Amino acid sequence: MGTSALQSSESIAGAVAEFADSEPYRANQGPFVRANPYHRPLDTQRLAAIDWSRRLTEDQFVSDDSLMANRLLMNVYESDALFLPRDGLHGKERAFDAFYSSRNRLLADQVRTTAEDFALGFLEDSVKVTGSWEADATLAHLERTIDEAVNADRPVLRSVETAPENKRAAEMLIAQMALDGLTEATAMSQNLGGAFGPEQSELFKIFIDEFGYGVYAAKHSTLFTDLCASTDMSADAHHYWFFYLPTSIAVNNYFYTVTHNRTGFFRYIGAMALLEATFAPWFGALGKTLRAVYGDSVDLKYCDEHAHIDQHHGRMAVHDLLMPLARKHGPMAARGLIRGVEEIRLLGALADEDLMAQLKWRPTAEKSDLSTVDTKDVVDLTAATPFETRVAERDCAVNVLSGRVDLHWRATGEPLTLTEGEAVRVPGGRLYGVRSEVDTTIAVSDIR
Amino acid sequence: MTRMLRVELSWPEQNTVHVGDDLYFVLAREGTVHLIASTCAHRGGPLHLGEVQEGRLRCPWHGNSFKVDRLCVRGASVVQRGSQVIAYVPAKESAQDEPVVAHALVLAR
Ligand code: FES
Ligand SMILES: [Fe+2]
Ligand SMILES: [Fe+2]
Repeated sequence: MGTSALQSSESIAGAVAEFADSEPYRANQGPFVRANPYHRPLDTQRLAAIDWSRRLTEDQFVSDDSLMANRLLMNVYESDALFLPRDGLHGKERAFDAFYSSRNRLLADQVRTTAEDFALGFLEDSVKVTGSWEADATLAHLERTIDEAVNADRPVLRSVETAPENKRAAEMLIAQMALDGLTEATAMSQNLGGAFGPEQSELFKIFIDEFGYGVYAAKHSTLFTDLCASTDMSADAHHYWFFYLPTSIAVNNYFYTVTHNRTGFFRYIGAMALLEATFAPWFGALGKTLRAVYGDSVDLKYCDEHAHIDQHHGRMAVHDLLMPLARKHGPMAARGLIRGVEEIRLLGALADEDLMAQLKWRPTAEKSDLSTVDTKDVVDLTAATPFETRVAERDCAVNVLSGRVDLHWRATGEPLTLTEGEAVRVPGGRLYGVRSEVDTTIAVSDIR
Repeated sequence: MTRMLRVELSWPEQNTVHVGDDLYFVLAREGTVHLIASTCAHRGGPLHLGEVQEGRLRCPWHGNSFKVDRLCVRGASVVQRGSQVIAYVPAKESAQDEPVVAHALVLAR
């Protein structure tokens, strides 16, 4: 590595540290971030440990570095979008100013491309698109891919239905969907401006549906809020901040990356077209799953709306947007469009696996094996220790040496309480956090 | 209950009628005026901005298309003498709306 690269990764680390240390990103006491869209905790120490000169590989995509980088990136993007608290700004004026401060916006711009490359750069290695993609090949591949996705099993929905606590499983899925659901079509809005011909108007037509024709009650994000309310979940942006899986955040970040960078436009259209074209049956199936899990009480307008309107959006995105772009702008554009299709397919599959593994994990208290505990792994917790979640790098055990600790691993439902002499196994890749109301000592030991 | 409101248009200078939130537009076929409700039955898209292809008017929002013959048969009651057009459009009994004739951008033809 040349000195200039080294210097730049040092200055990136400095900018990340300053950004993460500012008010909006400070630690939180409890497992939920309550009614404050400007508060998005970032753990400065874990961020400081990241080597920004490399990029995650596909098999490191489910990892703690991935969680941290994706949280950072999401804050970088979302501090460029307007949030106001649902109950008004009273008492949060300072938080508002801090979140949107010029200094933070500058730092966000400094770290953005590096963080994008770190978190999502592996897509360049994992997905290769070469050769000349004429319109016929583009359409053939697109139609086949849509067909496969539409007819595939839906293992995530099966895992929700068959989970022993199926409501909690459904809520973990809904919490992941909230990343996009509560701000729906924000990434799409980033390319409404400019001047790019009839396709700009086609994009706008999809957008007005997403925004409910200017009627707040019909806006897709409002329908999502209604779904949350009917399952007793919070509809405040990022209430479940600590329970987003790294891969879920990454999928959301992907859409910001390819829209924030104009050179990503064709990838965006490819990814968006694939999703729009496959959403209708997916949301139809999701509606059935949620109905089976919750019975009559769940508000399914969000699912019903997408099961209907995305039949249109799929056709519009493919035939009025993607294909005209491919014909008009040639092979480079077509490769970008196909790349977007493949990238979102890969990210979606990785995110599904991650979520299913989280849903499958059923932590249980066992007797602690003290012979595995190393004194260097001992941590003291008090009621004042901030809450954090992390991704276990490898199979490990959380041992309670004294006191009492709550293990959190899902967005809703009771945590698992462990007392002195007990331990819980955490499989590698799983997201968890611990919280204690009393003075407690724990040790996280590897399972060999 | 609906009541019928009488409007007079001088066509083609005037090609639309507004009644409250409803919009009617002139669809002319070989010099014959038809006055059509612009609200798409699907999601309320603006039919007057649609395109006629092979005898069907295509809604610009999601592309549903409607047979022009059917739209014309169901159009508002119209009497036309040259450029003078008299039409009757429905309004809710309770509403105070008066029809307003105007010239607007109409692409459907
Ligand atoms: S509103 Fe006319 S086709 Fe949807
Ligand atoms: Fe939507
Ligand atoms: Fe859509």
